[in-house]
This record gives sequence, structure tokens and C-alpha cells, in this order.
Amino acid sequence: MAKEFLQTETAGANGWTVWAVTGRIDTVTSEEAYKMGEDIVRRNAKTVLDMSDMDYLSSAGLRVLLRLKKLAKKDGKEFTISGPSGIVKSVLEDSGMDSLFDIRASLDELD
Amino acid sequence: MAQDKPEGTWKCYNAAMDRYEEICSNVLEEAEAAGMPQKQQLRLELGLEEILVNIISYAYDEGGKVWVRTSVADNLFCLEFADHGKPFDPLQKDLRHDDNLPLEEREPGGFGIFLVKKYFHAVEYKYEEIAGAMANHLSLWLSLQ
Repeated sequence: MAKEFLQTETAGANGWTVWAVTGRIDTVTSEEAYKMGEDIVRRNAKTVLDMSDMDYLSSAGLRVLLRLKKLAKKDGKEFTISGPSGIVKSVLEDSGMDSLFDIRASLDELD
Repeated sequence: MAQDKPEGTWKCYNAAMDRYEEICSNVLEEAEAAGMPQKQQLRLELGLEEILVNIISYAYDEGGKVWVRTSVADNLFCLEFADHGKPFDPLQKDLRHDDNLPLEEREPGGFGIFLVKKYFHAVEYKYEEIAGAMANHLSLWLSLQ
């Protein structure tokens, strides 16, 4: 079962660093995702996780988001989310996790 | 919660992470064969991941088996798990974080079960004899549509 999982780091608008994940953050990929997210958050003042090409997020993924949010807060950094849709958006909303993030509909909304 | 449950066939695996993707793949193939649309398969996968990882991680101190069975009745897909580990009902508590707690103090461990309860038509836990010993028996029903 080769599920897609790709991560990239690029420079976004207004000083944001864009961490784009394609595919899924789940039990299988969560450690790898956390490692990359942690590295990016530590090195940058403002990080946005671009979820627009994600199609699955489980509780293992929610734990990654929560850990990174705590890390960012502790270090006085910004960490937010952009572009979730489908079940990824549902999981964020139904878990209440959306309340912790100022979620942007797309990367165009970064200021 | 008396749902119809036609006898499917239990498949037995080692309860270990190196079997995780194979088990998921088998269950999702059975859901696909039952005509479950992609959107529902993602919800099924949430339940599958949550329960399976729980069993693999916590049911046994020194390794053991997990039994998985699927069936279809009345437009519902039924996914069942059994293990011979410590008696544990994952449905017992709503472990979701308390919205009133500050971020640092939230316990993220319960998100999964909360989502399973929300997305599935019904869930049921029994402690009963399966495969020759007392077993945690968890059944989850998901709409096929």
C-alpha cells in the first residue's frame, strides 16, 4: 500500500515559510512529518503548513500539529495552517483543533 | 445497539506495526469490493488506524495476535477487531481535550476515539470468548454510502 507522502519547504509571501505536505499525515508518516516541521519551525519566525494537497489526516497527524503549535508558542514563533479540504478539514473542525489555528483558506491569505 | 452481523471470516495477524499496512490494505480492499465510495473509505481508515494502532501499541506486554473481520449488512459495512490482551474498552471515556484547558495542558491522546464515535454509524465493545480465549471485541459500523 504505497500511500503518497511528500514534503517541501519554500519561501512564501510576507516572510512566511511554506511547509507543504502532499498526501497524508498518519501513524506511518507522523514522525517524519514532525521532524521536518520541527526543523522548519525552529529555523523560521513564521511557518505555514500548506495542506491543500493533503487527502488524509488522522489523530496521529493532529498530535503532530499540536506538538508543533506548542513548540512554536514556546519559542515565540508563528505556526499556522492553510488550505485544508475534504476529510482533512473535517478532522480539524470535528476535533476542535481548528480553534487553535488561524486557518487560512489559501496561501494568498498570508499577511 | 443490535446491528445485524453476518458471520464473516476472522483473519489473524501478529499485533505488530510491521503488519499494520497489510491489515489496512486488506480491510480497504474489502470495503472497495463492497462498493464503499472513496470519501467513506477515508473515514473507515480513520477508525481502522485508531483501533489497530491502539491494539498493536497497548493490548499486549509481550506480543500477541489481532483478529480482524469485515462484513456487510443493511447498507452498513461492519469492521470488527478482537485481541486477547488486557481487558480494555476504548469507547468508555471521551478522552477529547477540554476546550477550557490552555494549549499546553491539553491531552491529545483522545482525539481518535472521539472522531471514530462521530464518523461511524455505531460502535460496540464486548469482552467475550473469541478464538479460544476471552477477548476484547470491538465492532464498528459505517454507512456504505
